[in-house]
Amino acid sequence: MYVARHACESVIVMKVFIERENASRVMKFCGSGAELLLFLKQNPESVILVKNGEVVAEDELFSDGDNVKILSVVSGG
Amino acid sequence: MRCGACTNNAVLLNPAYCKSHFVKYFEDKVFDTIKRFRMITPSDRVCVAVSGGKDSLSVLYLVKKFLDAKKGGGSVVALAINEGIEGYRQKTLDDLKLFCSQQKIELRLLSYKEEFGTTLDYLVQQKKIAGKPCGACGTFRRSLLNRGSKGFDKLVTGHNMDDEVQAIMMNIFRHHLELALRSGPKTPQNPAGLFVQRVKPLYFCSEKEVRLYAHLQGFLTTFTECPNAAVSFRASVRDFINEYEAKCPGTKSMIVQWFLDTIGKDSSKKRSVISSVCLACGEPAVGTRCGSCTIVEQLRA
Ligand SMILES: [Zn+2]
Ligand SMILES: [Zn+2]
Repeated sequence: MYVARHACESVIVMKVFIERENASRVMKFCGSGAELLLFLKQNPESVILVKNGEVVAEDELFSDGDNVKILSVVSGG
Repeated sequence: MRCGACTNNAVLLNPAYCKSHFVKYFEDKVFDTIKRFRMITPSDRVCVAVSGGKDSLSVLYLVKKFLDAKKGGGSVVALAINEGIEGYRQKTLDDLKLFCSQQKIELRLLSYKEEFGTTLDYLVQQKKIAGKPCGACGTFRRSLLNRGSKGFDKLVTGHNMDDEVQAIMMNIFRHHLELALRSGPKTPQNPAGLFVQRVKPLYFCSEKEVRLYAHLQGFLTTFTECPNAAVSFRASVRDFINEYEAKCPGTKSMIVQWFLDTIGKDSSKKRSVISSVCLACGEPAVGTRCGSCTIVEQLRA
């Protein structure tokens, strides 16, 4: 369980897919998009955050059951 | 965060825009770049180099949109290069064919195999070429873009601001002043007519912005990374610049601006010096052999 700055009111469990690693994981997380990227060692310059199918900025907060995708900005040309 | 122009949620923090305002901001930036550097005139016959990735699909779409709006008789053809990298290029070529048919754009295809009798995979296996395959691949690619763009007024590439920043830094690290002089948003005109002028409408768009634009426009781009890319010098430069940009936002655009104010100043008014041709294939060359023919000869040796 990762808990950032502010405490969450209830437990947040979400699914996170990292495109570049082509891997999904289910994780408990409490924090912003920027904190999520930091925790997963993803540079915000190299990725786009998608929450439940919509692109969101890095200050986005999450709720229980969210489906998060971290798309890679880099492509091979 | 809210969009800086309306009450919708922002999809990007810097600049803070919602979906629709971001799309407008991005398109305006590209059209302004085209006009500011006189990259394309309304009557131009334009060849767009495409790979099927986010950069080339976005630039292809926007060049067509620009010319359609101008109604000056200009036209667009897409030119794709197949390097012959198993499992890497085929999917993007399929995406590209679909995209071009949807957008009603003619697609032309040139391959290393047909033009040089070799594939990038073979080149990597043979290990006859010193250093990383990316150098030889780039030489082949430039030759084919040159062949494929003959007879057009402009050759458009999808190079974005990150590509340019990486090139500037690589040229500094390796003290390649000659190469640095050749970059910039618009290449010099070749008085001998050996090259079509190359222009980069995405010059001021970061890679993240381009990916976001392509995503929001629904351009189908599968994530692919060249299997050789991870070993390249460019990849390490890219990673360190991105780390730095995350700490100090705005660094990339400062580097590009510094370049434009100094060595890149008036680069499009300078004249390209290459005036001789390769004795083997007739393409532009420094000396008697072009880069591509030199590599092909090394492979045969
Ligand atoms: Zn807005
Ligand atoms: Zn040659």
